Amino acid sequence: MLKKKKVLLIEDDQLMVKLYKTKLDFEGYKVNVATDALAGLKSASSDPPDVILLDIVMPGMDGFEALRRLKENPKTRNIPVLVLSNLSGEGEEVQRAIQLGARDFIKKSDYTMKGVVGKVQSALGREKINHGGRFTPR
Amino acid sequence: MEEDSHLANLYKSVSSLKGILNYETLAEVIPLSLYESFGFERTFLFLPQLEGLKYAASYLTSPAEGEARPRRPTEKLPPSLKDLTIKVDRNPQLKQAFREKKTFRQINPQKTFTKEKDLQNLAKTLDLESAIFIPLVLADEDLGLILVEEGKGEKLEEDILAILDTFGDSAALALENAHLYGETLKTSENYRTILEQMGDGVLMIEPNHQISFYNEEARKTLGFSEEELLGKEEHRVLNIFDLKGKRLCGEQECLIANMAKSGLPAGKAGVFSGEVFMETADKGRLPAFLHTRTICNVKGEVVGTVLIFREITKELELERTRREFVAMASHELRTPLTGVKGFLDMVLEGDAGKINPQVRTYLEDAYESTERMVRLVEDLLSASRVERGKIEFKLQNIDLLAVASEVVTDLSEAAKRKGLKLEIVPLRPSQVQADPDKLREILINLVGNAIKFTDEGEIMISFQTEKGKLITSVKDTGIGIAKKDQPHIFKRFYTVETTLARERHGTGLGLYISKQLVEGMGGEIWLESELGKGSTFSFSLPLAKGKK
Repeated sequence: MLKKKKVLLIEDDQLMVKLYKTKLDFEGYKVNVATDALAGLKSASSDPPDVILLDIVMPGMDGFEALRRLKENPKTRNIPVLVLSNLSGEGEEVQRAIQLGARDFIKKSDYTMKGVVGKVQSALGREKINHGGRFTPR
Repeated sequence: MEEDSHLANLYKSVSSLKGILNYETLAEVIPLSLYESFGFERTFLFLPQLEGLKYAASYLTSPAEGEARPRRPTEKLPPSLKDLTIKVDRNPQLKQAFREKKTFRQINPQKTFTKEKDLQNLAKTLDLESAIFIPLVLADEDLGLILVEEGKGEKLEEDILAILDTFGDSAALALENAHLYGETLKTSENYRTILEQMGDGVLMIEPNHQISFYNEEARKTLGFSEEELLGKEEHRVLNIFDLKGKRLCGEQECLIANMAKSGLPAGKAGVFSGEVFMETADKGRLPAFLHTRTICNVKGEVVGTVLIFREITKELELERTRREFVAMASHELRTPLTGVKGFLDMVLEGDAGKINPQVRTYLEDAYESTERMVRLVEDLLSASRVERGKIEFKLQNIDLLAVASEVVTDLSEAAKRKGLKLEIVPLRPSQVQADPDKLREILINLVGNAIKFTDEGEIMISFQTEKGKLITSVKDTGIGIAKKDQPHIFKRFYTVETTLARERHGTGLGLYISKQLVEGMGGEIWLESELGKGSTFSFSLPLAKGKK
C-alpha cells in the first residue's frame, strides 16, 4: 500500500477546518491542521507535507505573508501551495497569490468538495511528474 | 482769432475728458470742463435712465463775493430738477436733434418750446433765457444730453454750435468707453468672486510659464504664500506626479503647461484630466484630481493653461474603507455558505453513507439554494464595482472559443440535469481583444440564464465575424421574453414579472452586469426573442489586434 499523502491545512476558521479535514480524511490523505500562520510555518518546516492548503484571512499573520515565508525557506520552498480563500476582492488577491508563488487560487464558495480534492490531486500529480515519477492517487 | 480760441477751448475741454474711465467721475467732469474751457457758468448733464433722461450732474458758478446777481435767485439746484424726466420721443425738436446728431440753440425756451413739454418744464425750472442743447449720440444710441445756459446779451456767435457739437461727440465716446469699462470691470469682478468662492483650486499659467492667477483654495491646498506663487514660473513651484510617480511638472519643465506649446491645431485646447499627486509646501504630497486645459483665443493662439484641482485624500480614504468593507463582508458571507454547501456536498456524494431518495431531493434543494445565495453575493459585488466605474479591464488577445468551451464544460452538468442539449458551433479564428475573466462572467451569465429559462430543447452558442467584431450568440428554446420587457431587460434589478420567470429566481443583475462588461470592452449586447419560442442573446467584441 502506498504511503498516505500528507496535506497541511492552514486555516483559522473551525468550521472550514472541519469541512476540509473531513473530506480529505475521507479521500485518504493524512491531514495536519494549523489554525494560524505561524503554527503553519512551523509545521511545514518540521514535518514537511506534500501539499499545503493555505487560507488568507487569518488573525495575526495573514496568508500572503505566510506564503512569502514558505517560498523563502529552502525547506518549504518546493511544497506546492494552494491558496484556499473566500476573498475575491477586486481581482488583485488572485494575482498577488500567484505572484508570491501559489500553485493555484481556490475560491472556496465556487468549488465543490470534489473540485477541491481534484485541485489537491493535480498539485500532487504535477509535483510528481516534475520529479519524473508516476503518481497514483489513493 | 475768435475761431482759433474756440478750437483751443475745444482742445482743452476734450483733453480734460481723456483717460477718465469711471462713469460717475466723467459725468461730473463734463459740465465742469465746459466751464473751465469755454466759461459757461451754468452747465447741466442728463444721462439715460430706464424712464428717460434724468439729471446727472451740473456745474454752477458761485457769484464772486459781494457780487449781486439778481438774475439768478439761487445758486442751489432747484430740488424739482431731479424729478424731471426728459423723454426724447415726446419732444419733437429734441427727437430730431438726436436723430441728426445736431446741437441746437433755443432762445427764450420757456416760451418757444411749445410741443416740447419736458424741455419747457426744464427751462422753467432752471429759469433759462437762452440755452444750447447738445445731444450725445453714438452709433444711434442716445447716451445723454448736455445743456449749456447762455445769459442775456451773452449770446455767442453761431459757430460755437459746431464746436460744441464736436465736444458732444467726444463726450459721447468718453461716456460709452467708461460705461463699457465699468461693465467689463463688473463682469471680471463677478468672475473673480466666483473663482474665489469655488471649492476647487484654480491656477492660471501664461504661455511664458508665469503663474498669473490663482484662487485662495489653490493657495491653501498648495500651502504657498502669495509671493511664492504669483509671477513665478510654474515648474519652480508646482511639483505634480501621476499615480505611477512619473513627474508631470517640476524641476526643469511642466509637461502640463507644455501641452500649450506643443503645436495644437488652431482653436483646439489640450486637456488633461486625472488623479495625480501634488507636492505641497506644508502637507507633503497630496492626492488630487487635476483637470487642466489650454486656453485659446478666437484665432486659436494659446493664451495660457488653466489648472483646476481638488484634494481627494478623503475620497480615497472612503473608497479604501468601502473596498475593505465590501471585501470583508463578502468574505464573511461566503464562509458560512461554503460550510453549508460543502457538508451538503459530502452527504450528497455519499461520503457519510447511503441516503434515501426522499432525503436526497431535499438535500439537493438545499444545495441549490446555497448555490443561489453564492451567486447573489457575487452579483451584488460585481454590480457595486460596475456602479462605481471601478472595473479595470485587462484587455488582451484571447481565444473566445476556448473560454466558451470552458464555460460549457462548467455548466454542462446543470444542462444535463434539465435534459438540455448544450452545444458550441465552433468558428476559427476566434481571437478577440477582451479581459478573460470578464468574458467568462458574461458567458456564464448568458449561458446560465439560457439553462435557467429553458425546460426542453437546446442551447446553442455560435459565432460570426462582422466589421472587425466577433459576434457571439447564445440561442435557447426557452420561455422567451415579451416585447414589452425587452427594452428593460438590461436594466439593473429588472426581472420579467411572470410567475414562470419568478419561479426561476434571477437576481436581476446578471444581464445588467453583462451589458456593462461588454460595453467596457468596446462591444455591444442585444437580444432577439419571442415569447414561448426562445431567446437569442448576442454580444460583439473587437477582433484581436495584429491578426489577419
